[in-house]
Amino acid sequence: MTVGRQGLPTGASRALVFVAAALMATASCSATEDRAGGEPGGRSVDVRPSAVPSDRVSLPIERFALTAEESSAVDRAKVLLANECLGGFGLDYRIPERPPLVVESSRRYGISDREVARDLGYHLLPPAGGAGAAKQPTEAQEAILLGATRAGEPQSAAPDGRPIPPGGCYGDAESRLDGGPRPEPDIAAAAAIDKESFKQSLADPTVVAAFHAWSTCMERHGYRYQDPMASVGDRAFDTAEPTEREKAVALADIDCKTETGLLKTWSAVEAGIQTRMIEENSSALERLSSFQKRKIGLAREAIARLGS
Amino acid sequence: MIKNMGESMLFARKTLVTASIALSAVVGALATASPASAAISTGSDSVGDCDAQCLVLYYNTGYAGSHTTIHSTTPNGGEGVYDLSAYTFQSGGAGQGKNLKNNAASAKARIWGIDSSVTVYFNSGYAGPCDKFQKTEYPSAWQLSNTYNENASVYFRNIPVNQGCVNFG
Repeated sequence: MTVGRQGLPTGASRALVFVAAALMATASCSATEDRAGGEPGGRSVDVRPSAVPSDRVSLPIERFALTAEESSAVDRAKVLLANECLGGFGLDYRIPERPPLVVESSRRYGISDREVARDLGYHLLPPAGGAGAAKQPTEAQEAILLGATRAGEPQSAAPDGRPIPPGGCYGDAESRLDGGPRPEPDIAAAAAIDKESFKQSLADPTVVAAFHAWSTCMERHGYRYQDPMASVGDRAFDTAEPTEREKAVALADIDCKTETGLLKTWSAVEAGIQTRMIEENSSALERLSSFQKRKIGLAREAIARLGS
Repeated sequence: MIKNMGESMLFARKTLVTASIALSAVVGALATASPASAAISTGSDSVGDCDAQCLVLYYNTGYAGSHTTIHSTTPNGGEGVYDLSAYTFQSGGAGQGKNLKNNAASAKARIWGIDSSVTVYFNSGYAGPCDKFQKTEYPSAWQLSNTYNENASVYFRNIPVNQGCVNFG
């Protein structure tokens, strides 16, 4: 299969989920149908069978994070509020409606999507669609939108003297959705769990044994890697286009993960580590949770008021 | 979309940046840049001097110590640095000359597009836990959280992509 200039390889496009504005939590989406080669059935917003292997345990820290759908709603609300603000300045420029969100498979544990591995090896999906056609704001409009000139000078007043909010209309939209001071220490605590649990999992004896089994499997296929983070990070794969060898290694990588049950073992160990860390940080995470709920609520209110 | 400067301006900036890099003895770093990163370049300038998009990695917290600026000039395409070990901290200050990989404590980014982002990954090859920066105020500034001293690769995207970085709000 070749990677065309215009489109994605068939397998890869089938593996994409386009979240159409992602406004309804339960909405399923069939936007990929015309590119999906007739694969029946729609897909739900943030569940992608080949992207999140069923044998991977979901991570507890994700309970304290925005889902893909929630992130998308917040981003859309931000655009709507920023556009309302631009209107208040009498500008006719509006940020275009966001293109549909593309959900790629997580590479937390290296690659996990067999279709992408087959078509692209370890390469990321090429950018879909051309974003260049959208209308660009003028420099004066951009200064009000972002609160700074293109040269980076902060801009605090419009040409007619009206004050520009910090960060411009876009920054103002973000502050309004935050609904108050951002709980930065709580966000940092959650982010630390996300990183530290992963780091600790790499040294866990159960995970190390699973790496060894995976490595032995890879050797049978003729490839030598200590663990799946070494294969995904192999600089031999840092090429403009994936090579045949890269695709073969990537397929073996996925197949050995399946054969050894690596993703299940690894994610279960990491989930255990996270559960302990979450208990130790429960008050910070509860504060974070309330902040997120308020933010998502404010986003949905803005969408209800301004979205058409 | 408010992504980039005008094309001619972009070209002019790019030429300037290329010239200044050629003069500043980081030719070695450029020579090791991969084919996949054809429009990626690095320098020791500040975030205010960057092209359409850039990420500045600092050796110390609070945007202190030596830094290196990674420029991305492909308007519509995803591109990145697969493995930051090919680069070093370039500007004067604590950490100058040290490897860029896994040594950055803070970062600033300049991203003009509402839908654009730059992601810093724990592992090379754009894998592991990640920090996704997607803001457009200037100067956009963050502490590295998920990838503090664990920055192995970076990727610029110009379309909204959810690729598994945890979003805590």
